Amino acid sequence: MLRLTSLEVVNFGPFKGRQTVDFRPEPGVTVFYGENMRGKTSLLNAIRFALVGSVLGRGQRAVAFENLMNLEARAEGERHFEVSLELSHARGAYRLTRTGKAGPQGDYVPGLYLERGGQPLSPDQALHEVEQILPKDIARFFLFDGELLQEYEDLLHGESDMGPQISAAIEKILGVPILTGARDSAKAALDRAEAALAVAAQGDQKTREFGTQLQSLAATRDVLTKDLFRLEQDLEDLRGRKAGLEAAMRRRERFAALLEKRDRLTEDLDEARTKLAGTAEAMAAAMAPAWAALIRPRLVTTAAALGDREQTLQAAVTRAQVLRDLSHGHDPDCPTCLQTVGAAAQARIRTALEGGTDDGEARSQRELAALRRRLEALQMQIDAANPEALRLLWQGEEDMRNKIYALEGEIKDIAAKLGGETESELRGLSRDYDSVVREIVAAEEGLTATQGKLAENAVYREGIQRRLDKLAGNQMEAERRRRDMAAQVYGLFSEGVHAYREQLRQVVEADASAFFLKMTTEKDYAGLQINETYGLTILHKDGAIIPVRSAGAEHVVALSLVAALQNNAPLRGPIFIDSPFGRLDGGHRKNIVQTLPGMADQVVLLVYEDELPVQAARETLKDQLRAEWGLERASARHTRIVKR
Amino acid sequence: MADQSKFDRTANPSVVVDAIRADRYPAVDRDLMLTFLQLHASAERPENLSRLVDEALAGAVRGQG
Repeated sequence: MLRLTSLEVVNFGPFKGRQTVDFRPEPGVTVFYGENMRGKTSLLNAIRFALVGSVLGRGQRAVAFENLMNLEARAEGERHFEVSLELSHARGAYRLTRTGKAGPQGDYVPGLYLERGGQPLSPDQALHEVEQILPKDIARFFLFDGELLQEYEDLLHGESDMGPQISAAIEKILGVPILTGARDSAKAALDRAEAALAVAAQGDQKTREFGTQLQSLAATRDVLTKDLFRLEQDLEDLRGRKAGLEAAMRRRERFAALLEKRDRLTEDLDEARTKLAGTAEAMAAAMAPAWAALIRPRLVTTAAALGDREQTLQAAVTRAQVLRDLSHGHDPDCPTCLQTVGAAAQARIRTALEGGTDDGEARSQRELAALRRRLEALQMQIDAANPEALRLLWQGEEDMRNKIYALEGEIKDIAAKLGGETESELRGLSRDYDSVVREIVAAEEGLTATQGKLAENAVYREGIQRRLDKLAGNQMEAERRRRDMAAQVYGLFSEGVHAYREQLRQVVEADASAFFLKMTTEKDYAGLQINETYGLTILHKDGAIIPVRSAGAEHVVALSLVAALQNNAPLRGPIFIDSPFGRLDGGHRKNIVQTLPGMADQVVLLVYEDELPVQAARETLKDQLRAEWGLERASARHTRIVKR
Repeated sequence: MADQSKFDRTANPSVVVDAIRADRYPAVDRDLMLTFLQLHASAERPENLSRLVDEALAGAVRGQG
C-alpha cells in the first residue's frame, strides 16, 4: 500500500514560494476546492511530476520544464522549482523530490532525490527504487483526469492503438507480467535446450545429419524471432505514434475545421474572381457604344416622333387602300361599319378619289418604308445605349467585388486564427498520420509473414526432433529430458497466462459492476460487461448492451474501472481525481461522493464549489472527510494552498 | 457480466498456475514453478536470468533422477 503523507511545492505552476499540504493518515477523502484557473490541474500535475518526472499536457504531449516554473517567481529572479512527496510504502518511508533548475542557457535541468528512512539514495538507487515503489505505467491509474478518461474510452474500441497500451498497463497493475515473464523465460530456455540437443546430436555419426538440420533451423528461428521482436517493437512504437498523432489531431479539431473552411472559402474566392473577369468582359463590350447613352433621350424623342409619323402615314396608306377597294367594288362591305356600300356611294368615292393622285399614295408608301428603316436603326442605337443594362452589369461587378473583399477578409481572419505554424503543423500532422498508417500496414504485413515463417520452422523442427528422438534411443538422454522439462514449463505458464487473464477480467468486471451500480442512478442497468482489452460496456437488466453512452456515463464507467483496478492490484495507492463532476447531475454526484471512500484508502478530490458544494461534501462524506483545502487567488499567477 | 460464484477472487498468479500444474503438468515440480515465479516477481529483470532459469530446469531434471 502506497500512501501520501505530505506534498510540498516550490514555485511550481501557480504555486509561488514554498507551500505544504499534510495528508491525514486515516483512510478517507481529502477535498481541495478551487475555482477555474486556480491550479487544481496544476496540483494534480505536481503529483504527477513527482511520481513520474514529467507532466503531460493535452494530447499526451510532455509540457516543457520551463513552463512548469511559477511565472511570478521567475520574474523575481527565481530559477528553481521543486515538488516533494513524503510517502509511506511497505518498503519504508520515502521522501521523493523532483526539481527543475535553470541552466546557464536557460534550459531547465531535472533533478531526482530520494530518501528512504531518512537516508539519501544514490541517483541510480533512486531511479531503481522509484520504479519499484511506483512504476510509471501504474502511476497513471492513481491520477484521474480528462486524459485518463479518454484513454479508458479507447479501451472499448478494438481498432484503437491506445487501447492495447492501456490494456498492457492494466495487466501490469494486476500482476500479469510475472506470468508472461515466466512464460517467455521458459520459451527461451526451451530454445536453448533444443539447441543443446542439436549440438549433442552432431557429435554422433548416426544423428549428425539431424543435429545439423536442427541447428540450422534453430539458427533460422533465432533470426526470425529477433525480426519478430524488432517488428513488434516497431509496431508498438508506430501505434504509440499513431495514438499520439490522433490525440494531437483531436486537440486541433477546431483548427482543422478552420482549415477546411478556409479551403472552401478559397474555392469560392477563385470562382468569384472568374465570374468577375466574365463581368468585366461584358462591361467592356457594353462600354463601346456607351457614348450613345449621352444622346439617348434625343434618340428616344426622335423615335417617338417618327413613331407618331409612322402611325399617321400607315393610317393614310390604309385609308387609301380601303377606299380604292370600295370604289372598285372588290369588296361591297365597308371594313369599318360593315354596311354594304351601294353603287351610288361607290360612284361618289370614285369621284372623290379622282380628285387625289396615285403619286400621293406612292409617296406615302415610300416615306413610310424610309421612316421604318430609320426607326429600326434608331431602336438599335437605343438598345445598345441602354444605361439600365449597363447599370445592372455595373452593379453585378460591384457585388462580385464586395463578395471577393468579404471572402478575402474571412480568409485573412482564419489565417490569423490558424497562424502560420499551426497550419503547417496541422498539415504536417496529417502527413505524418498518413505515413504512420502506411508504416503500420507494412509492419503488420511483415509481422504476419515472419509469424508464418516461424510456424513453418517449428513444424520442421518438431518433425526432425521426433525422428532424432526415435533414432537416438537412449543417447542424449540428459539433453532430451531438459528439453522436455522446458517444454512442460513453457506449456504450464502459457496456459497460466491465459487462465489468470480470464480470471482477472472476471474479477475486474464483477468489481467494476458493483461500483457502477453504486454510482449510477439508472435502476434498469444491471452492471458492466468487460471485453478482451478491459473495456467496459453497460448492460441493461434485459441483457441488452447499451451501445452509446453519454459523457457522464463514460465518466462513471471510468471511475468504476479505476476502483476495480485498485481493488485487485497488488500495488494499491491513492487516487487523485480532478474535476470529476462537471458532466454529472446531482444524483450521480452524490452517489459518487458516497462511493469514493470505498475506491481507495486515500482519495484526493480536486473540485470547484459549484461542482461539489462544501456542505454537500460534508453531509455526504461525514466522518470519511479527512480535510478541506482551498486554492485561493493571491494574483493571476500565484495561488495559495490554504487549510480550511 | 461474470457469475461471481464461478471464480475464486482470492486467487493470485501462483494459485492459478499451481492449479493448472497439478491438473495438466504433474511432471513439473512445484518448487520449479515457484522458482520461475520468484525470478519474475520483480519489475527489474535479473542480469543472469537465463542462467538462473537453466539452473532451475537442470535441478528439476536431476531431481527427477
